Amino acid sequence: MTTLSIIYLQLLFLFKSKKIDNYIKKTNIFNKIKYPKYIVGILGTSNKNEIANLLFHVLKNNKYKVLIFDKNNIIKYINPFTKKIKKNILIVNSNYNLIDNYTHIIINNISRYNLTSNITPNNILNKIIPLLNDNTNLIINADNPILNKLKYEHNGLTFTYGINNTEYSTKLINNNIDFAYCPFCDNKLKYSYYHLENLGKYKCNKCDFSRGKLNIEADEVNLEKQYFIANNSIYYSYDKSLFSVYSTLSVITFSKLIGIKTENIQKYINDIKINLNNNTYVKYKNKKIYLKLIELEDSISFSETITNINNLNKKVNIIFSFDKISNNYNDISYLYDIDFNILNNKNIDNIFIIGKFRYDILTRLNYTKIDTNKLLLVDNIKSLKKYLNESTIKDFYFISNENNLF
Amino acid sequence: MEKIYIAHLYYDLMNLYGESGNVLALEKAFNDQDMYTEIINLSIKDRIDFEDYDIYYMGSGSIENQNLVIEDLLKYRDKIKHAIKNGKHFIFTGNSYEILGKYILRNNEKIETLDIFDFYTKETEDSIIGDQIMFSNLINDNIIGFQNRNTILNNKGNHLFEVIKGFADNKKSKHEGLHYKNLYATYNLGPLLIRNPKIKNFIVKEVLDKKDILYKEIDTIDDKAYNEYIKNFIS
Repeated sequence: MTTLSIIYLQLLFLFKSKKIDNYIKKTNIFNKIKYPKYIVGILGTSNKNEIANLLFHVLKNNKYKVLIFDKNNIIKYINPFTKKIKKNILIVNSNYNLIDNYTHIIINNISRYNLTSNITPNNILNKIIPLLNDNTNLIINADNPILNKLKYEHNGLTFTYGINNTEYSTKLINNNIDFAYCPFCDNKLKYSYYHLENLGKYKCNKCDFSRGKLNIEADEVNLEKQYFIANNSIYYSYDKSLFSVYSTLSVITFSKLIGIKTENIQKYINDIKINLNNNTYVKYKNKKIYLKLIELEDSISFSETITNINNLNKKVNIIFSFDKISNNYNDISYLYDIDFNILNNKNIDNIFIIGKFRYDILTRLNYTKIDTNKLLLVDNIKSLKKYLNESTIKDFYFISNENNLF
Repeated sequence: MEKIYIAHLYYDLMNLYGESGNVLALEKAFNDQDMYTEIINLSIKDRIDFEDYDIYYMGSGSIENQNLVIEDLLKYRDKIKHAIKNGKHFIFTGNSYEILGKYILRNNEKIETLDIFDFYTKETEDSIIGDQIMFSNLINDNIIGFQNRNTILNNKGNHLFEVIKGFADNKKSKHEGLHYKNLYATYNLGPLLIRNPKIKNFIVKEVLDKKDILYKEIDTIDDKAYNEYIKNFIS
């Protein structure tokens, strides 16, 4: 019996055990596997799941055998005798240092994310940099200056994407941004426009660092109709946020790199049927309650969720439900990195706030321009149901970190 | 009507844990006292006057940003020291607290800091992270907070809080933070003044007292959030 066969059997045994993480570290199992031609790491902080799922969809429909890596089930796809993974593209959606031989790395964003673990955004990037080698093709969102810095430092090939000046480009709306200074000379970066947080078009007036010319750029964006035009081709964006455009651009960039024709990328991006935008709903009497799950300690994903709701162009109610506010502690700080003024919109009828942290959420919203009469503190599910019954609004958006409605 | 000027120091570098919330808290608290408020965002390359403003606030930042700030701030050392001695209001949260000491020891490198107070900071191997409960003599009540750091400092006097649960300035100490005249510094991160309305109101009252303006007690939603937190997680 080969070493790997033994490991295979042991892994099957440990399959449902929490001990699997320690086992992986101890045996270094992932360095013993014969990997497919392409190993794509989707790393960084924003929309990793969406990119992985969209990429899977496009590649699979273009006849590639694709697997999204999951340390708990990858063993099913390894031939114990040849040690080969029975696929030709492996997508790894994780910042964990389990694999160090990526052929491609996609980084869509680096931002303040899960700071109780990461402490600073710089630490997230510092974990990724050792994974880059001369053979790694790096695909980055160049609208983020700290990612664009890698273009200058990476010895392998770098491919960039971003969004041009569109009707959604703004002035700085929020001071809670990371990497406002030049990563080379510490001079404050000069922006022509911003999209989200520190994403936008920038240059340093002291050294020659700038966003530069991009490989793929979205020139026209229509969030309401959910499309954008990049390099003269039109693509569907899977939701009404600029991050869906960024994520889709990363998928287009990778797909083009491995030789898929533009029309075949377009076809499957534009035909997408998979539920990428977390748009499931439950019916309660004559109301639809859309479930919007967010990650705790991720101010950008939270902002993206409320931006999407704001862009719906219909009258809605929102329910914030939080019995937990941070992953392991009671840290509410990231709530103050989110621009809740986005919800200061006539289409938002009421905002119901329920859960153990309802007073903290209400306090946060009280520090915005949202009409306080719209903010309703709800003590329990019974009261929430009463509000649901009485409301004339048909669509409710339930924002929570867990699917605990009723 | 008299105006309150709040200087948000290094707003674009030392603002990692939602600390702009503290500036919002002060702005709203003064507005509730029928005062006009102006927030002045100041950073590297701005000329910072340490006489002009009523309150100076600085939050926390990455090590890289903290280094940039130290480099810029050193030229103001004497002016800051003078302003502190003259009773200007300063609030430092998170690792901006460290800047007030003599130096920071990091990776065997000694980084000179403002040297206004007699302590130094050094890195630890362990992460110091968690929710905090502290007691404040100033308000005779508990303070709730959160810390996330891998440094300790050896401040020996002028303590701000007594630690009930969580981490002090260092392992041997039972105290956290620094209070000298109208300067308040703490390792606690994030929107501390929103989470602890009594200490915020204490500072607001101090500022108004200096201007001979009567402070009015106002009950806000922040107080309810504080009480609810105490009820759910501490009582």
